[in-house]
Amino acid sequence: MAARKWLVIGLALGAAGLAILVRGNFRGLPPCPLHSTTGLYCPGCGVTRASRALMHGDLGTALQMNAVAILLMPLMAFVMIREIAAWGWQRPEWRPGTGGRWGIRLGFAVIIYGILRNLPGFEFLRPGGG
Amino acid sequence: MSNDWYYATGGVQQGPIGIDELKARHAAGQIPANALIWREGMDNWIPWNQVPELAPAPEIVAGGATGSPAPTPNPVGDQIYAPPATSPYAGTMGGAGGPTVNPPNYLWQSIACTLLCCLPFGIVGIVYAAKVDGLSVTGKAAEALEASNKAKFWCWMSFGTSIVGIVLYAILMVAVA
Repeated sequence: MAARKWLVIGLALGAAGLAILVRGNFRGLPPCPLHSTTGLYCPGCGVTRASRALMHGDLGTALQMNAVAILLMPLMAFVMIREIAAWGWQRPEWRPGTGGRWGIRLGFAVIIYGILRNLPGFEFLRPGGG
Repeated sequence: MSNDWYYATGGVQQGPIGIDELKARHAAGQIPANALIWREGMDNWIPWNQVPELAPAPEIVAGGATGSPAPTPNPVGDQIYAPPATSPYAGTMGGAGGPTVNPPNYLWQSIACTLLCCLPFGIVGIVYAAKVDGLSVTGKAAEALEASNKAKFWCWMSFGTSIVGIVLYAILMVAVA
């Protein structure tokens, strides 16, 4: 089955990337081009630093960098695993639900979060607390 | 006659079936007159009574030499049909055949793209994704499908652009360093 083959290829590539990150002499990523050119804080700003902090077991720093992304991470992982499994095994009944009314509210909350981060008075929402 | 007709009632899509079967189900009361109809080659779902091939045939009155010319129904045979039956929801996991449920809303994909791709396209995806379920529930299958496709498009736009951007940026950084 073609989908399963791509699933295996994707997992192998992911494992290889992780191995390079862990084993290699990796100094870190360059800064975000969007932020360094426009100065804007997008809804995802700080996710890389938050993930790095989380991998070092530092939940406090992770929450300071991007609290919304960290809080949504378990949910995102849950739906993503279900979606990938449904695709890989061709089992549509495994797909995550649509989220309903609360899913839509969550979507707009993320947009509002992205807007507020750029407004004066909401500097505490920026990575590192502004 | 190839089986390339679909119909949607109450947000649930049925098909593909042949036009004779479609007419038979309509005659049996299974397809209401306000049901949306789609076949390969149509731009959009349209109501039953606006499909030229499904217009009621002119009644032939015996001996009725009334002089009024009978309306010519749109002949079915002179159109070139696409090869049969890719489902309009081909992007879903539903597989071929059988009734397909509402189009996926791509909401969580849009949220993930918004959070992870640092681009405004994911926000457009969320806005379209938020519309899909409401349109499906109210039976607007065509609009729901359109919103679903737009949400999907902006998700891929966000994902693709950011992947290309990251690769270009990485090459630039290596070249400068």
